Amino acid sequence: MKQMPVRHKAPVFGRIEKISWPAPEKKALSNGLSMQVLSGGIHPIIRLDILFPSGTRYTEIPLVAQATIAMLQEGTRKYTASEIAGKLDYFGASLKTSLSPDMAGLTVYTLSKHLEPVLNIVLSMLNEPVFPEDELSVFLKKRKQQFMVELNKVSTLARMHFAGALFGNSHPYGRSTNENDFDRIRRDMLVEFRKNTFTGNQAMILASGLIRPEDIRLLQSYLSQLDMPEGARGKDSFPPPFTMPRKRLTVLKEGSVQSALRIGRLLFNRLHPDFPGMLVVNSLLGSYFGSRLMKNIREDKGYTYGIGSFLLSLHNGGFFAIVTEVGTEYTQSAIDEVYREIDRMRNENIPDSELELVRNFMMGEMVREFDGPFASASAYQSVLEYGLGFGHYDELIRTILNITPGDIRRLAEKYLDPEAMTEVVAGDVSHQELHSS
Amino acid sequence: MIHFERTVLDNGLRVMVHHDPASPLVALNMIYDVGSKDEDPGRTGFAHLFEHLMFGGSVHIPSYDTPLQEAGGENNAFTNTDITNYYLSVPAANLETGLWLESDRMLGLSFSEKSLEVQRNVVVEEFKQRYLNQPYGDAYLLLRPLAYRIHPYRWPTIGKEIGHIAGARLSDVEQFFYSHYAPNNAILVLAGNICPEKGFERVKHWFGPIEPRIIKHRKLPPEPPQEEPRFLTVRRDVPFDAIYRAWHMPGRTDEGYHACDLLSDILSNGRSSRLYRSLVMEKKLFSEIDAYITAEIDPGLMVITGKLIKGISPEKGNLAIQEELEKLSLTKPGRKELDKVKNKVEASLLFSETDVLARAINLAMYELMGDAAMINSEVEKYRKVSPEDILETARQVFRDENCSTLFYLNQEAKRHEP
Repeated sequence: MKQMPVRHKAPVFGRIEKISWPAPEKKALSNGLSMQVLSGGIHPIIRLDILFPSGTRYTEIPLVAQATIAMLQEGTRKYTASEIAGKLDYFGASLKTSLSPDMAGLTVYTLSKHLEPVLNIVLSMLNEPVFPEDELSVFLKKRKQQFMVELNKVSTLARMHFAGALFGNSHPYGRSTNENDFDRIRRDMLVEFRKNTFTGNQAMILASGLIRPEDIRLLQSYLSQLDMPEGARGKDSFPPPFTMPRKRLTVLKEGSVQSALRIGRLLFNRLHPDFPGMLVVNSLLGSYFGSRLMKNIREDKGYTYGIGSFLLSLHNGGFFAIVTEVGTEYTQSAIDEVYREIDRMRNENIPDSELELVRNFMMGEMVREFDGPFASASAYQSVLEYGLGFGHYDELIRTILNITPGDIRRLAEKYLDPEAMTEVVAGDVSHQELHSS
Repeated sequence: MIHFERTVLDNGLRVMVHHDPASPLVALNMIYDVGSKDEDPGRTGFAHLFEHLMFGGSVHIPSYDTPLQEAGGENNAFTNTDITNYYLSVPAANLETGLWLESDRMLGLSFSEKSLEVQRNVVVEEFKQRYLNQPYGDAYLLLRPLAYRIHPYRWPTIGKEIGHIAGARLSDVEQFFYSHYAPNNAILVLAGNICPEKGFERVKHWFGPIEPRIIKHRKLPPEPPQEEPRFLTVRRDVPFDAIYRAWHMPGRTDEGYHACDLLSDILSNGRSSRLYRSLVMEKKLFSEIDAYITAEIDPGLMVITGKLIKGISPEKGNLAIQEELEKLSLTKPGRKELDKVKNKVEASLLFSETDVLARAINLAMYELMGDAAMINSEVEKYRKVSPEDILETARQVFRDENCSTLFYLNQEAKRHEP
């Protein structure tokens, strides 16, 4: 007899307690570097990541780091900018650059069958870029206009002012750019910055995808030719960030129909023993659709299209932030509700059922982080830059599965003190209209 | 090559399973064949608002998200002019939870007045965040009604105006559900760590008992051919002047679609593309420029948008675009240039299929267009396009009378007033 579906109660589901990830294989290069290989997938495609500790913190001149990594593809001793673009496009390869306060990197996606010619170009970009004047001036003009468009977005204004408010405007992690900086960049600054910081001996290299032995041989042979200058690493003076008690900064944008909010504080990076626990606290508060902030401020009040929170890990620190855009008329109410949720985290134990839910959700997220070789490569990269391996994920899993409501409340009490929070509000709100919550 | 198996349940639900034993997940994708083109012109934005309401509780399940999160799952949805698409992914062992949730909301909804009220607000905030409170954010709200006069593609999925969303009533919502949400108006794909036999069996178990519903045959008025060039100039609080141009082109399943896609790639896919090299790098007229197609099922649009470098007049920028289009209408592209854009398409199709969720969405979309197997013959269709086809397509599409042009200008720069 056919069985009818039982709909009035949820089907039994399994709890995930173990995640499997691909074992990275370390391959030596003859120049002394090493390359991590993560193999898997169904299509013959390869992703190659090459990262250097050449982030924005390593120069005091705004935009130098941005321009240097972006201009690697604008001409080398062997190829002009248009030849590089033409060849990469012809092979169906795509090239992305990335830049954080700590690292700068190139990511190349290519079909395996075109790996060799693509490597040839990548190697030339890294070893012998020329930073041509004409391309540089187009780049700066273009970026300046894009920047000025960004300044019309409340979300951008809030983000920029938040970093400065947290670390201090002259701190390596707090510096921001202004319009005039684009006119001050000269070619020799890029040459100098590349020489000093894009040093092969500190490169981090990851290859992922359906990688065959012949691909490994090609990768080894090309990447072994990566130049290895010592580099006179610029002075990386790292002053302690200044922290002030609870403060609010408002950035006026007249006529804005929404306000962008950032509320948060300085914290620590993933090497800190409380980092895994704070990831759980952060999830409960604001990092998934069923989080307390989403449930209250979007799904109950309808003040916003979305609200979230995150922990950002940096090599020398980190921060916690809550981010949203809310209707201008709801600005104060939304801020009040954010603090109400923070208070609840600090003063009440969370119910076991909610903890169980967030455990399962976080474990599911972890499974998704390892869906396919490219996803695994990204997951691996984010621990490798801290000198950690996949073992770090084991530790996260242990914390997710074993943390108690008491631990969570203690962490929230310790790290989510409203008196330690910095608030930035960008929108059509004058200082006087907002009261302190 | 994406392998899959297909079946149709007695109630009309079309089901496909793609088995990838290496994935730890199963992705579930459900397309309902309803988009903003099916809306009443007096109540636009409804299909999308409805998508939000689909998370507000169904016959047996008060909240959609909680049980899914408990099972380690994640989900989302999107609506466009053609379809409403729901997707989730769960660890493979917990597929049952996904099927239970998805089948219950196909069976029937049960949400409150409060849920409608909140989601109306949320969508109004979405409207503001994405279209009203962004520089250039309302450009497509202006361009669509300029290019379309009759066809419902003339309004954007978010809706013509906020008022339409704010006025939605519970009775409208109910009627919308029963006229569009039904097994015989949907396509379900499972992709990942699930074999077809098991997948079909579980889908039958959960969805088999749902009765088919009466779906009205869609009769959309075709857009009559455009017979004269159209222009619109607006002034806004933006730092730079921008140009948006749109030409009518074939629909997603029509002859000539692939040639149009490649034509747009020749213009702007990649840093070696014509518009980027000529208008950004050499002539230095634009800070950014892009050409793309809307890829809609009914005849869609080829769009070129660019932001001008400060001091360059929109007329001058527009003329430079026009020169590039004329070159394409006079001389066919070289073999090598055409091969380049084909290679790029082939690679991007492969790269877009690395995760099981993307494969599930793509399979469902191709099935909606007629046959899921097209996922594996798409590259072939691009490969067949000849340089002569590109020339012919450029002549057909880039006619002045087929074009709508929007000058989106900085409000202070009155000097360019014609």
